[in-house]
Amino acid sequence: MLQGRELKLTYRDGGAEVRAVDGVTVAVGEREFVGIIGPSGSGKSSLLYLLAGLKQPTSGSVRFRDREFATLGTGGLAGVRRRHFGFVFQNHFLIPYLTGLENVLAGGGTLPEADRLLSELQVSHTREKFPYQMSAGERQRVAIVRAIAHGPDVLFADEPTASLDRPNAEIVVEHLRRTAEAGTLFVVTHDETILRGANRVLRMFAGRLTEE
Amino acid sequence: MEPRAPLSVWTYTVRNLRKVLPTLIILTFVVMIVIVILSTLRGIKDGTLVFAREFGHYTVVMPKRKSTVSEETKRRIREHPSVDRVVESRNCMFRVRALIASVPYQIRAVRRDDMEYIVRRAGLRLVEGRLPEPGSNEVVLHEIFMKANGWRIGAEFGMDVSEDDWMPGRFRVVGVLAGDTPMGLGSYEYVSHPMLYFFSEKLWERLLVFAKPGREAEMKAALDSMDQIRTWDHAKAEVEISKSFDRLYLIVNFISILLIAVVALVVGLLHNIFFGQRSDEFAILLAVGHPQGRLLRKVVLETALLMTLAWGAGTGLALGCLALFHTLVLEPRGIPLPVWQPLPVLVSLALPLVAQVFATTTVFSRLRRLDPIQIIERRG
Repeated sequence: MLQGRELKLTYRDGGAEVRAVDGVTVAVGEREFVGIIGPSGSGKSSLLYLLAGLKQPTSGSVRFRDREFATLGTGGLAGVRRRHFGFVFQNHFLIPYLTGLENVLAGGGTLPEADRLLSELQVSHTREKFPYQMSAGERQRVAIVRAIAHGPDVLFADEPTASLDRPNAEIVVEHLRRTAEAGTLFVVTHDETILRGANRVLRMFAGRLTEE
Repeated sequence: MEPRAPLSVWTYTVRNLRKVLPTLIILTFVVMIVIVILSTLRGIKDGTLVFAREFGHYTVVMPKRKSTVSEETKRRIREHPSVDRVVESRNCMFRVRALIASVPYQIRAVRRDDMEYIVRRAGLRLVEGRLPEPGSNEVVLHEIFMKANGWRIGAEFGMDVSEDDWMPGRFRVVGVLAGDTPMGLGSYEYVSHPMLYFFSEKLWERLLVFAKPGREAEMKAALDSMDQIRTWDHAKAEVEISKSFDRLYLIVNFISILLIAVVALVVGLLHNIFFGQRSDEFAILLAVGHPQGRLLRKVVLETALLMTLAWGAGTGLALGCLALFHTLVLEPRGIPLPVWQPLPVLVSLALPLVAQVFATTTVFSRLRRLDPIQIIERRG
C-alpha cells in the first residue's frame, strides 16, 4: 500500500553533509502495524516524514497505492495527507484557542465520529475545554482522536508517548493497537514496549535499516 | 456550547481578543484621528467659503480705472435681458471674530426696498427684531455673526464704540437674520451721508447685480464683456479661497501619508509577531494536509476582518466626536465649520487597506516558507 524505494535524504549541516536516510527501501501493507526503532539521530523520524509526504527525498521514490509522490505537487501531497493519513507527534500540537472537540474537527473529522472517539479514549470531558485546561495525557489523547477521526488509511505516530507518564502512555498505546486493527499503523519510537503486537519492527541506525 | 468552525476567521478573532485588541485599538484611534483632523482642516476652507455664499446670489460690480461706474454702464447693465435687478449699495465694514483673529466683513448698505428684495432672493428670514429704518444707523446681521461676536439685539459697533473698529461713527444691531447665506444689511442713505463718508464715498460704491433665475451664465458673460467694470462673484471667491489653502493642504496631505505609512508598518510588524506565535498552529494544519492556499486565505480574511472592524469603529468614533464638537463648540460660537466631509472618510480607507496589504504580504512570505517539520522537530 505504501512503499518507499531507495530513499535518501541528505542535507548540509554547517560544512558537513548529513545522510538522515541513506538508501532505505520499505513497504507497508494494509492493516499492518510497523514499528521503527533506533537511537536518536538514526533517521527514523526522517523516514516517517518521507513516507508521509512531509519531506521530499533527495533521491528515491515513495508510492501510496497507485500514486507516486514525485508526480504530485504540494497541493496533491497535502490532499493525500488530508484524506488518507493521520499524524500523532510527540507534542500534541493542539491549537490553543480551540476546544478539544474543535481541535478534532480541525483535523477533518465529523462531529458524530469525533464525539464517539473522544468517548472511546475517555476524554469526552475535554470536549469544551481548551488545551490549557487539560492534562498532558488528555492533550495527547485528543491529538490521537484528531489524527483518526477522519478514518485515515495510515496513522503515522512519531514518539507518541515520549511526553507522557506511564499510565497515560499505556492508554495511548492501547488505543494505537486498536487503531492498527482497523487500519495501518506506522510508529517511530525508541521505546520497544510500545511495539508489542507489531507485525514488523525495523531497526534504524545511521540512516539505514539494519534489521527487521 | 456548540463547537465553532475551527478555521473560521470569526473563531480566531473572538477567541484571541487579547492579541487582536491592541491592533484593533491602534487602528481605530488612528482612523479616528485622520478623519477628525482632515475633516476639521478641510472644514476651515469650506467654512471660509460659507462667507462667500452671498456672491452666489449676485455679482458685485466695481468701476475699473475710474472712481465710479458711469450712468451709461449702469443703464446697459439694467437693460440687459438676463438682469433681474441692479442694487446700488455702499460697503459698511464691521469686525467679525473668525477662527484666527477678527476680520473685516462687509455689510451691504442698500435702500429699503432693495433690502427686502435681497432678503427674499437670498432665502433669508428675520428671526428676531426688525429691518433697519432708512437713513438710520441700524443694521440687521445674520445670526452667525451675532454668535461669533457674542452679540444680542442692541449691540453697537463702529469707531465711536471701539477705536479698533472699521467704520466711522456708531451702528446698532436691530435685527437678526437666519438662512444659508450670512449677510449683513444696513441703510444706504445713512452710509451715503457726506459728513460721515465724504472722503471715502467713492471707495465704497458697489453695484449688486442679480440675474434672472437660470440666466446667471448669460449675465456673467455680459458683465465680463463690459470693459469699464470689474466683477466679483462666487467662482472668483472660491478660487481665491482655495488658492490660499493649497499650501496648508500640501502639508496636511504629507502628514496624513506619513501617518498612514507608519501605522501600516506598525500593524504589519504586530501581525508578524502574532504570526510567529502561531507557527505551531500553522505547522500542524499544514502537516495534516490543509492546503497552503486555505491557510493563506485564512490569514487574509482574519486581517481583513480586523481592518474592517477598526475602520468602522474609527469612523463611527470620528463622526461622533465631530458631531459633539460641532454641537457643543462650533455652533454656539457661530463658527461655520462644516465637519461632515466625505473625502477624509475615503482617505482614511487607505489606512486599513495599506495595513492589510503590508501585513498579509509579510505574513504570506513567511507562511509560504514555513516548513512544518522544522516546527515539529523543534518542539519535539
